[in-house]
Amino acid sequence: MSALLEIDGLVAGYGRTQVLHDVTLEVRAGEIVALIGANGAGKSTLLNAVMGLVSIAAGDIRFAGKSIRRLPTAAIVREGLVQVPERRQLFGSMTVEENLRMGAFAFRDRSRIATLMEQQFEQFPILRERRRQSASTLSGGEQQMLAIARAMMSAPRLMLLDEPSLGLAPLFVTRIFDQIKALRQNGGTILLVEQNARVALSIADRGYALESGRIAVAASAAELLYNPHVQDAYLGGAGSSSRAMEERIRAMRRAMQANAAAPRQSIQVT
Amino acid sequence: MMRRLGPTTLALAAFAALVSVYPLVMPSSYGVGIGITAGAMAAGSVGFVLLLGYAHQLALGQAGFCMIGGYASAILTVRYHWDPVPALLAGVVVSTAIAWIVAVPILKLRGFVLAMGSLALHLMLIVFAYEMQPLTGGALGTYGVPRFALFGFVLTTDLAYYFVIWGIVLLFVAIGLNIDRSCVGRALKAIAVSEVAAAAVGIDIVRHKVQMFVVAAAMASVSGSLFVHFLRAMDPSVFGFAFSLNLITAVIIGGLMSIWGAAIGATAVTALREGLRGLSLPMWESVIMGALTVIVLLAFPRGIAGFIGKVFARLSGDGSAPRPSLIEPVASALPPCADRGRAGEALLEVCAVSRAFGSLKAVSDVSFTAPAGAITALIGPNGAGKTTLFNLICGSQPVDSGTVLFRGAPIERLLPNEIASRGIGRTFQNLQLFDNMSVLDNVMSGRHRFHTSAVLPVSIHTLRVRRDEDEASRIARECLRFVGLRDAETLLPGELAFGHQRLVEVARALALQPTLLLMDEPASGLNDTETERLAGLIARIAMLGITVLLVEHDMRLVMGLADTVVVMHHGQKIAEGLPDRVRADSAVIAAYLGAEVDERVA
Repeated sequence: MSALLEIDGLVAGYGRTQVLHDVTLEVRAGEIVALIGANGAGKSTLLNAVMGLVSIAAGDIRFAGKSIRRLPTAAIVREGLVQVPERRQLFGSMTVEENLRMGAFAFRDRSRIATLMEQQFEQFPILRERRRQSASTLSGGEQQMLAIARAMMSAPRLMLLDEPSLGLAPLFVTRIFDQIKALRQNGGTILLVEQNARVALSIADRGYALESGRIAVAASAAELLYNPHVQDAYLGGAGSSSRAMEERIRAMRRAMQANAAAPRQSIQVT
Repeated sequence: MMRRLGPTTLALAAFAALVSVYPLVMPSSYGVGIGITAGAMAAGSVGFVLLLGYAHQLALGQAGFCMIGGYASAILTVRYHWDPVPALLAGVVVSTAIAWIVAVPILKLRGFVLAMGSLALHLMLIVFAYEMQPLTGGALGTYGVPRFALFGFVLTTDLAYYFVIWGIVLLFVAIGLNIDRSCVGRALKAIAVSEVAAAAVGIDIVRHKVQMFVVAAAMASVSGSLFVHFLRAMDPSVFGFAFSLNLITAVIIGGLMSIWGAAIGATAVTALREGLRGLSLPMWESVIMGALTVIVLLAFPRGIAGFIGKVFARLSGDGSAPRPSLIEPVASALPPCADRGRAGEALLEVCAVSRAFGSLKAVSDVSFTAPAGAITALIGPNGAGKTTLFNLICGSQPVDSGTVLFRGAPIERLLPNEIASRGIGRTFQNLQLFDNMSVLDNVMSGRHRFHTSAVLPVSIHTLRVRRDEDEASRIARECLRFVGLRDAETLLPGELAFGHQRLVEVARALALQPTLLLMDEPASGLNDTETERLAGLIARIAMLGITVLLVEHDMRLVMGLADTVVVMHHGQKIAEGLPDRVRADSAVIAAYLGAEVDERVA
């Protein structure tokens, strides 16, 4: 399969601060590619650079073979790229339906908009129930679904998904990721940025680990899950499970309490 | 402190030099007259920049206070033969009194109420000036205002008056700079960005808005008096709506976030107006003024002062590369905890609390207790009412029924800032940092409740204020070290990565020296490694004796850290107990934790 998005030697940042140094990655049609990394590694900056929201110092970004590096954001969206921003950025006072309409802003054809909206309601039935409610009254999980559905309204060829699990209860995280998998099964292509590396890699085809603005590891998702470095840096250590992490946290707290029971060290400032 | 003192002294010296050189360049009486006009306007602008630029309070009728000052000076000196200085001070007294009476009800409301209210006040004063003919002279005005006099010495030349006026401007600028670098300056900037977060660090929003409205009114009143002694007459048209607009223009052109900008802007506006008058195109004067304002703002979005600041930063080469922030996992210094509460004491008691939005019962009849020194976790599905309950405890929403006891005293009727001042700190699910100040200032704002924020001591930067500031800066640095953030002090929060911003928020809450810390989803947006580090931080906070109430979705964090877990669903408490007991609870599994058994959307 050919690459839909090619990022080649990208150097970018905000003002004086250079965030990305020589980043090269690609996303092929029909793939979910996960981009994992610590806070401040430059994941969101990379997505923003693709969308033309960050000034690019060097390198190139090609979409379907055509350079989009110098295009304004609106033109990039017309090319078929769409971003679901971190923290959703919904229009809170608008209804669910109005939010979806905003996603199809570039289209004039009413029947096309109606078809797209119907598709979203099929994929996310809860949104149909809530179509007349204002977006701010939705729960966190529903808001994330709406953010994804709104992005799908522009009929994108590639979706950039920024932290979909942010602020969601465990049950909803599973649900959202099931939906993302379903999007791919319907022929969607997704570049997924996610702190929750374990979940992201479990649904992705391939992944990249971004560290201090550089690609540190690139491999298939399965390989990344078992890569010792990735395990150490993002998955809470080798062979770690959720339960193991919980136990470590508990042990740490117990140890601190035990220490404190011994001679107490305290600083009192008046 | 030293770092900030240097450039300020330099700027004050440069300012004084410019003021002294100007009459040598423009020695004509016309030139000196322009200098006087600019100075009188600058005096009014300094207070206004604090109100409009810092606290984002739009007062459209600021010239009304110039009018009060102007009439006080004119009437008292002409009719009652007072000396100019006592007359000016009488104007200040009247202005501040009226400002205070008007501001207290107005500033409790948000939005455009202040804009309309101050405009209405100005309108009333204009009508009053026209109608009260025996006192004000009506439309004809009051003539024969004497020259200004200081300590009985009449200033017989305009040049002498010019220096007196700019001396007063210099004094006001110094006061403004002192306010800027104090906890009051931080409070104003905080209010401009997020009133919720400002209240959460104990800032009394209404008090500070009223305070700045009164300060601005006093300075505007002085400005009016100074004008009148130059014009030697006063009538209702001197301080019309156009003058209010000129003040606003001056402050915007000069730079909304700069005390210097006010003086610079007033000078620029006066010079522009005089220059345009020279062209004798009265029709076009306001059009050209408007166009130039827009052009200046397009060229320098942060005003002339912002532009000058940028040039200096570039020249001094300081701005090449901000240091990246680093994390050191375990820090040694502990921020002090003011008041721990007795071990085992029921620090926070939520008793049968309910809150409904229309027909939706967001929280219904919830009770639980957070014992002193323990970590209590509050969990539940999205939309279960956790955030609402959180807001009820913080006071940002009123309870419908029930009571919240903190150390045995009810707090559910208190304002958020009063609750914060009792020692309840909080962090926000969606970060609420003050993006218009440095990371260090953000954390220092957490010290607000310990500081004097009265205008007088702050304006003259007393020893006590200085000590407060030093202590705030020291403790803020300690808090940043405690959360493990290094080299971030001088950066703006927006320049930090999301997870680091979250640490700044924790540090800000710790600077309050809270007895109880409320954390709203602190792990959201963090990866596993960072989450584990956060767990360490929360545990260390608990070890300081600070009681923690944690709303969180990350079960590893909740189950690993919490002493007690409270589970909410559909606004009700469905379980409470030790982590392992809650985990095994079938209702909790169905509603929240998720299992193969139940996959329906609630």
